[in-house]
Amino acid sequence: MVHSYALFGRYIAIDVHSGAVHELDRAAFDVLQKGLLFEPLNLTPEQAEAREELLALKEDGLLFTEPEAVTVNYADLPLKALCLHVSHDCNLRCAYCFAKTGDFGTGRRLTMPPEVAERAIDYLLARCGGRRNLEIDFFGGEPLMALDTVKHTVTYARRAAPDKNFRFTLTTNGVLLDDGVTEYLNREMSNVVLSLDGRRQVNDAARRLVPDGGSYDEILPKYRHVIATRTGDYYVRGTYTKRNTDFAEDIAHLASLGFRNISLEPAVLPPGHPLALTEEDVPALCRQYELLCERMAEDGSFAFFHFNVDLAQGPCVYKRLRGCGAGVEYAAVTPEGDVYPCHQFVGREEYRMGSVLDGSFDKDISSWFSDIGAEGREDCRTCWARFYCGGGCAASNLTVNGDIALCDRLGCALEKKRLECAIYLKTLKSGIY
Amino acid sequence: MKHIKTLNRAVLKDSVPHGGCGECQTSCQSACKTSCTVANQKCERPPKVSGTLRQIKQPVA
Repeated sequence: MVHSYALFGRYIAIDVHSGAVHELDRAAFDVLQKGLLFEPLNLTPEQAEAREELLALKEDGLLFTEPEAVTVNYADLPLKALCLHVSHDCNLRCAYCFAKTGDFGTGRRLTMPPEVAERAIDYLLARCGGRRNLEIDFFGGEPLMALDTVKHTVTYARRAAPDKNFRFTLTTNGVLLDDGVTEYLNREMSNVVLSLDGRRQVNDAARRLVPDGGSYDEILPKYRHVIATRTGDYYVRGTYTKRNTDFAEDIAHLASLGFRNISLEPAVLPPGHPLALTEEDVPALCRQYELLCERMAEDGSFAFFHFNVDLAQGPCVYKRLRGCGAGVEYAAVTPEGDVYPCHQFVGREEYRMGSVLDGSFDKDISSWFSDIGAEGREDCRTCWARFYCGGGCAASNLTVNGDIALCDRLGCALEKKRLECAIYLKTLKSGIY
Repeated sequence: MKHIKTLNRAVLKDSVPHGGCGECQTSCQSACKTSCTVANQKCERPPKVSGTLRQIKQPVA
């Protein structure tokens, strides 16, 4: 399978199964697009020449490559990452929150006790097999509302398994950041994710303080302090919705504030939600990614998460096929110790997989996820992008389509556009032109 | 070649015989939390040397 496309006057071909990427001239592009490689009718001399080169690539295993037989028993992969919901409470009230303002619709605003956090670490260590790199993401709600549990967990994990390489990350809305907290996070967290949606009016329309008020002015100085004092990774991460389908402006705004690592994600909301993006928005949203791409072609001062595609040293085919690992390699733990396939499934009782308190882990539920990697979903099997997205997000599929295996078509359309832009940017930076 | 410039070669195909070590980061622990891209994750194995990918052979997980 080959995906070829034109963007900003460049012509690009991706050989899906080998991972090879080529830049073409117009003649070679036309040969591919018009099916002239296999039916060479009425070729111009330039096209005939280009066709010979394309056939040479095919001969070399760099074009129209056949799929490799890859066999991995995904169901037996060990657990290696936990999302710890240390707080099911939040000090913001965001309009698009999938956690339903922190309690995930349970009606119980809870903090994870240190004892439960210890059991979660024990649970991970019991199930991680030989994996050395283990990940713990402190999440919520707002995890800084449970900072004592965060600190206890870090100390406990390092003592419990000094031979493991724990990578701690924390996703925060920033309200409770102060100098002491910042110093702690900068010392202990390998990555911090700082939530901010972009322009003040956009952010404040969605991310509201309790009892009321915009959060932008409160958190921005704190984020600036974090990145000014930090040497580890960070991302400023926002959400865009139906309200800001001009979101490239929000990314530009975040870059203008000095943030260098930016992620802005489409809100995933059930159909009918007033902020939900719809199919009609896709052309405008794709145009925004193109505008961002044009900006980044001129301004290399910041990185956008979904454009960070490493063509040469990216993940192996096994990682690409198994995707995010939810329910298999990755799980979320609630303040009460319940285990779910990922943070977005918390509160959906039919997806409760077990508990860190009794060590249970439902292999049947896990198999629902291990069966639907990039090769397991019908839409994915014929999609050129499957080795880049890994099969997409099961939680998004469930939210939009009511089925973890039915792809969120809107999300897929945006992902494909992001990938086309990302690979285009790689052609600019390749140094071969 | 006159009409084609190859940006990168068969990295996926080349990675098949070496298996997946499983030490890489999970996608959702980085910065998305609501969508998925695996191609922006880093491989934990040593970078390629002299054009040969994944010098360390490890069993498939």
